[in-house]
Amino acid sequence: MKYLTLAARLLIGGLFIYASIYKVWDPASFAVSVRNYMILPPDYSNLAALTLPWIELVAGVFLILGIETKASAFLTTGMLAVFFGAILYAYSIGLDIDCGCFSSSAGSAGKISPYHIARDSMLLIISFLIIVVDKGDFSVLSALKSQSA
Amino acid sequence: MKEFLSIISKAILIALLCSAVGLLRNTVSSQPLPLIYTRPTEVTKEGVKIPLIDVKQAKTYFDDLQTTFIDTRKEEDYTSAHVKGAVFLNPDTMQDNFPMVQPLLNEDNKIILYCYGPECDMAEEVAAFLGQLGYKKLLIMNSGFRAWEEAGFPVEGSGKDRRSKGGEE
Repeated sequence: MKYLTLAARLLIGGLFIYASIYKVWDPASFAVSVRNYMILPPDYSNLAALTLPWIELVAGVFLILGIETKASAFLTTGMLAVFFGAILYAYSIGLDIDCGCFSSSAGSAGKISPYHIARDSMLLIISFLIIVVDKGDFSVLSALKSQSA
Repeated sequence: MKEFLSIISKAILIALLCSAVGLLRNTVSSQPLPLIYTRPTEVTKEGVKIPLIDVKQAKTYFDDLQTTFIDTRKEEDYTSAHVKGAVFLNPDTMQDNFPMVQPLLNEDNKIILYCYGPECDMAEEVAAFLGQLGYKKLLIMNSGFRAWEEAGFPVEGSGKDRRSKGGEE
């Protein structure tokens, strides 16, 4: 089980790091994606675009390294739930927009499809399971502690 | 329960610290974003300044008949549904198609350009092209065809999946 948990951590952590890099680098484009979803009031789109990607990045790094794994998985689960809700909403009203999932490119013609919904729901479940089953195995911090002890 | 509260409080702490880093990074950025977004009232493209309007303003111009709408989306989307009376001119084909569209454009009339929505800059590209040709009364309906259609304003086209509530059928 602990290897499965590690695999889940690496998957979710890796995806969050990958997904956040573009947004950290180009928050202005990500802000456009946030506005396109029309869920958040546009006034707060910049604030979300400036802060969310950093939470994604750090939560992803912490998941991989096993630092505050449960808290990090809580964050990734919460964010995936929000993204899942946003994608579901955008799909239900037929928005033809870039999902903003793995890049900030607002001009891309990537349309939200059932694939995005299936993918996000799977990730949401995996991320949630990390909170439930993680026992603190394969943690960089505990490895360092046991080495110094 | 205690463990759950501990997880939540740690998660909140991590989120707050990360947010602080993001905001700090923005303040030292060469092009910081304003924390509160304000809608732009005009856009400048290739030296041409074009005012941005919303669908309600666009509708008032639509009603006065001294206005031409230009659809800058993909041709198949234009064919499927467009603002009633709009002509098609998009960035990919504007050089070739302009001579055909030119007789429909009166320089004294307002020209309202639109794309899918605010994320799309094709209306800006066509507006810049027209601005350089000397057209002065250019406006961009920034929220695009999506907002026009959702407002139930008049549309026409061959599409069967149109969602217009009050549009022309």
